[in-house]
Amino acid sequence: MIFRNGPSKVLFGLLVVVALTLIALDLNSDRFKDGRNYLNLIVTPLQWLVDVPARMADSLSDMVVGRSTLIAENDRLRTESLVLEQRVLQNATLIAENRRLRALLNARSHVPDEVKLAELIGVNPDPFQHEILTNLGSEDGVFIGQPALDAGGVMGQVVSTSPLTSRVMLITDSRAAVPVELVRTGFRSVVLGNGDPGRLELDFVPSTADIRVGDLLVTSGLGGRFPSGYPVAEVTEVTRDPGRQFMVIHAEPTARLDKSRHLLLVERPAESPFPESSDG
Amino acid sequence: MAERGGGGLIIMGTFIVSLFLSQIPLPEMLRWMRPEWVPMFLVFWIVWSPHRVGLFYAFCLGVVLDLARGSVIGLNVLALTLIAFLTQLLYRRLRMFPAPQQGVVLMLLVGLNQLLYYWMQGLTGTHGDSLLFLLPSLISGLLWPAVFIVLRWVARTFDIERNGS
Repeated sequence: MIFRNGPSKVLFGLLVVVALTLIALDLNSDRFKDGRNYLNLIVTPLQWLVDVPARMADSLSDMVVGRSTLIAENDRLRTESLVLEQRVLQNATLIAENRRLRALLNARSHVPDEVKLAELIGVNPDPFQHEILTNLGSEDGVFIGQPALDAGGVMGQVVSTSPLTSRVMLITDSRAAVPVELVRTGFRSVVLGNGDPGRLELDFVPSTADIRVGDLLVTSGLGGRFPSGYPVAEVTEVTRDPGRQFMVIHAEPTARLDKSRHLLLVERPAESPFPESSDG
Repeated sequence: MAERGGGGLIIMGTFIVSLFLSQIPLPEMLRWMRPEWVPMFLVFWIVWSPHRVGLFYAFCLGVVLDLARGSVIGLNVLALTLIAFLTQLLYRRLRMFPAPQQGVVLMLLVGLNQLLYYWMQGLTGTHGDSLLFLLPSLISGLLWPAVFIVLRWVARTFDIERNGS
């Protein structure tokens, strides 16, 4: 009988006001965001559950893989490891040489970055938000702003954490920007995501700049968030329009953003990312 | 009363399934075509049992969906509450319609949900220039008859009474 006059407008109005308050709080209050970290625990079981089929498929394919395939893979990995070891040997001498040269130049020595291995457990279903979910959270020392890499290069950065999981915003998200430099010329710029999963943009590059298709962009370390020297993208398209002041440049991420199941979270550097200008 | 409680658990269960379905990863090609499972399930239960499922369910579902999607808390709350309210206004008429026609109404409801959600999300910084985000409403409308049949089967199997005049 109480519904004779239709649904309750008062309740509806009240809930809308509460919802708007929640939006305002979430956007403006840091303390609310901290609380949100713990609220995320509610959906953690759901996120784990969603990942179960993928993990089961993984373990199943591990189980049914044939002996010969395993042997072949083992051989391939062994040769690969040999090649890599040889490269590491060279690396050691190069590092030593680099350190000597840096010492000669009176520059700060480069500290190797510590990383943590995380596993992907989910993808944001919203096509406008390029975010992935990892299995490490604030309990494991993940912090907001932590850079994430894979074997190919920079993937993105952590944008929110919960005690057991964390969200990584990929560099192709329309909110993302990475300070980069061109390996060939040292030209500095900022790579922007535009919501397209396979494409990045470089904005405001003057049409006189020396950029070619195939150029590699690596993180410049400016801005202090991403460590310097990691590959970010490869230039795929350069359009010079004489009518415009800036070039239109597209690039492709070098990291396999939609395929990597493992990612590396770079630990906070022990010292300030900005070197003291000792040599003026 | 005991039956009622049991029915509530079943309804919760289907909502958990809908949340699960809205989270499973899809291949790149189908990225834009994910049906909006949560609003669909919500509309069904409000039409089926409006005395039991209503604005509070919508509100709680919205909070969980916001957390699962990582969006600003309140966006889905607002959208789902609105959908629930409109469905409560419409449910008597919806019951009269054959399933495909219900699908058309559902398409409009989900379309509204999408518009509101992405418009609000635009305010918080994410922007996209594509109108593809309306595609899920079409897909949801097309899938509605199937969802309706499955959920009706669930409701009948577990004896969740159909109420509301």
